[in-house]
Amino acid sequence: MHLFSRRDFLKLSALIPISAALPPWAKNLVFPKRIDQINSPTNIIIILFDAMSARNLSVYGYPRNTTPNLVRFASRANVYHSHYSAGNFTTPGTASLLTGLYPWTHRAINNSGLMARELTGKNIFKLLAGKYKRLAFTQNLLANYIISQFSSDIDIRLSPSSFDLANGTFGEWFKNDLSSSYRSFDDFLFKFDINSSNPASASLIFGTIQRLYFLRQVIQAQSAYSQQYPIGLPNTDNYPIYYRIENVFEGLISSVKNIKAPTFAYFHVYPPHEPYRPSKEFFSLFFDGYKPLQKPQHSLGHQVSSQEELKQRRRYDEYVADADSQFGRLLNVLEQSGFLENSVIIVTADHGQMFERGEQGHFTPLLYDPVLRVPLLISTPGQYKRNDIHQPTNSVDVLPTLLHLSDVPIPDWCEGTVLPGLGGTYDPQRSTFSIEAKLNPAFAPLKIATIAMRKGAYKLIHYLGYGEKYDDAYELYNLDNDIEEVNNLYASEAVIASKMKAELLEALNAANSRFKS
Amino acid sequence: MLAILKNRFPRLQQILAIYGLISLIIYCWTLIWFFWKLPSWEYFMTAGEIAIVLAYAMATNFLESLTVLLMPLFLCAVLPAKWFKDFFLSRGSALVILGLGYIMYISLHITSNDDSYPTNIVRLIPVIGLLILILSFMAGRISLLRKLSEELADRAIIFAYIFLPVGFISLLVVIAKNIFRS
Repeated sequence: MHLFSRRDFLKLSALIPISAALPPWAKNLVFPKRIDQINSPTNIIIILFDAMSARNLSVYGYPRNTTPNLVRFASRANVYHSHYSAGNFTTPGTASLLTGLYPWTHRAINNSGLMARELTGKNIFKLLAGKYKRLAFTQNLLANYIISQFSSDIDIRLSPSSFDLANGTFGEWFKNDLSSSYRSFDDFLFKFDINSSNPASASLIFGTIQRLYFLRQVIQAQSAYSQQYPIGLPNTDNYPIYYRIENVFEGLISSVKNIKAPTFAYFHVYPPHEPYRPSKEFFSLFFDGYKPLQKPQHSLGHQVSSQEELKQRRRYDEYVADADSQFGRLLNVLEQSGFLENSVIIVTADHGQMFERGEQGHFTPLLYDPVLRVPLLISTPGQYKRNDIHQPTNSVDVLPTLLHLSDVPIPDWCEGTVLPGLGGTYDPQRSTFSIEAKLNPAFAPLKIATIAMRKGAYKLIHYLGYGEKYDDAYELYNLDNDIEEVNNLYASEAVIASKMKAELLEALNAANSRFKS
Repeated sequence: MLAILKNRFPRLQQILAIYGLISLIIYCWTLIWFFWKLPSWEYFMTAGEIAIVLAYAMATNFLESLTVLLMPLFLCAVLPAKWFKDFFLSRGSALVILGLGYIMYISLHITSNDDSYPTNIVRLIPVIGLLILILSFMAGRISLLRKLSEELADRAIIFAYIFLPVGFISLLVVIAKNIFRS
């Protein structure tokens, strides 16, 4: 038998200096890092896509190839397959992500609502103070209301219209009083209430002049890019901002290039939120006859026809693909600039989108998976392997995970836990919650709400205060074998249902106990 | 200088009467929307925050009403006294009512959801503006109209005394909020 001789040892020793010259990915292949070996990251970058449902992404197995670039990113990231947003629209979803608190605690539950004022100091920006320079950008004015509440904790704040083509927002002019000025001008005096039966703005003179001026900007921008955007320029739904996705990502790329480490950056981009306006390259990409499982209409839904659902789903998928291609450009820059070697990059969404049961969009009391399940992909410094995590997680878990990765103590008030795969362990007994309560006053106990509780394989949905059949109703699904949520087990699995119901009601009562009924 | 101003412009009481009419229309337009919005704000905003929004609105109305007041004052300054200044109450109030009424019409007819410029409305602005001027001049000639608009302006003066201080205080609040970071 050949023994390892002194000569062999010397030969091998000669290879040691060569290893120093190896690129980091090669080193990682040979000596992969354990999670607890991750050094405090130089930068943390969150890229949040508004209204991006995990159920429509090819990175999570959707039949349409909507996200080839996310698939590329996933090859070097922790991919969370059962990640839930704590809310089903921007206000609660964003607030939970940035605070680690559930909506029934932070109370940003209404459309364009705000967090409980006494809790605004509990946010990721404040917790990372001193460790990172903090940068925030959101195109969505609903998220901007929340971020305005944290403005004293943010070093650099880009305005929602930073990378736009036409902008009719006004609040950003009042830098020292952003919260009030956005509310006063963009939600009231100069509000473009598209969905309202009364389109006029509350300011008779300046509002009318501003609207005429803005519409001229829009027409000029539309005509300049009519070839590229055959069904119109992308724009925000309720607020007057028109943009090209390319410009937004160009802006992000330039921001990333100018980042001076260490930085924590939160980038919240509007696509693929409706209105779905894919560019020419992606428009009509998915005329493939794909038909998802047909589900009966829900009486709390908007009774959208299945034909319309299919049409909107196709257009949404095209818009997702468009957003993904732009993300690909950003990913190239992150790769080439070496950012991925020393930074934590997170891709996620604030809520999902529904195209089933007579519902289109996310402005709904329904809490089925398409509107709650969002992507979560986290690439840690120097990660070169995909790590799939199938256990249920929640957006409230992102804040404690980032604190853990940054060696910052996790505060007691945080309602999330460190994500499995990044230092946390999966607890099958843990329950996570998603809450919809936009019709309920923020300063009162929840009496009109939908609450989804996820525990292990099961998901319990509780409808509260919607009248008639849904005044106090429950649905139970086993997501391990019924991902489409079509077999309600509430009656047949009575033991599990009653245990989960008791736990949900206990949590709800605890949340409500802060308020007088 | 003071004499020139005195010759060119109407009496302060008359200016206040026209300002009262302007502020009645501009402030009430905003207040109607404010009360329409209020129930939804009550869901998630505190009384103090709603008061600040109201202060921003009233400060904006204050600046808007002063801007609109410049219009009849400008006409006083450039036109012969017999044409406008001598009939300031009647012609001024007719001008203000018709002009602001037309702006209300424009405001209610500009929609933003179809991404199209309201060309038809904008093209007509100079024509209708001219028509409003002609009608205002006629208001000074037809005695019934003259009397009606004068009576109206005379009664509207109370709104000047209400909204002027409200608007000014609101402006101070907004300035203070923006000087001292909240």
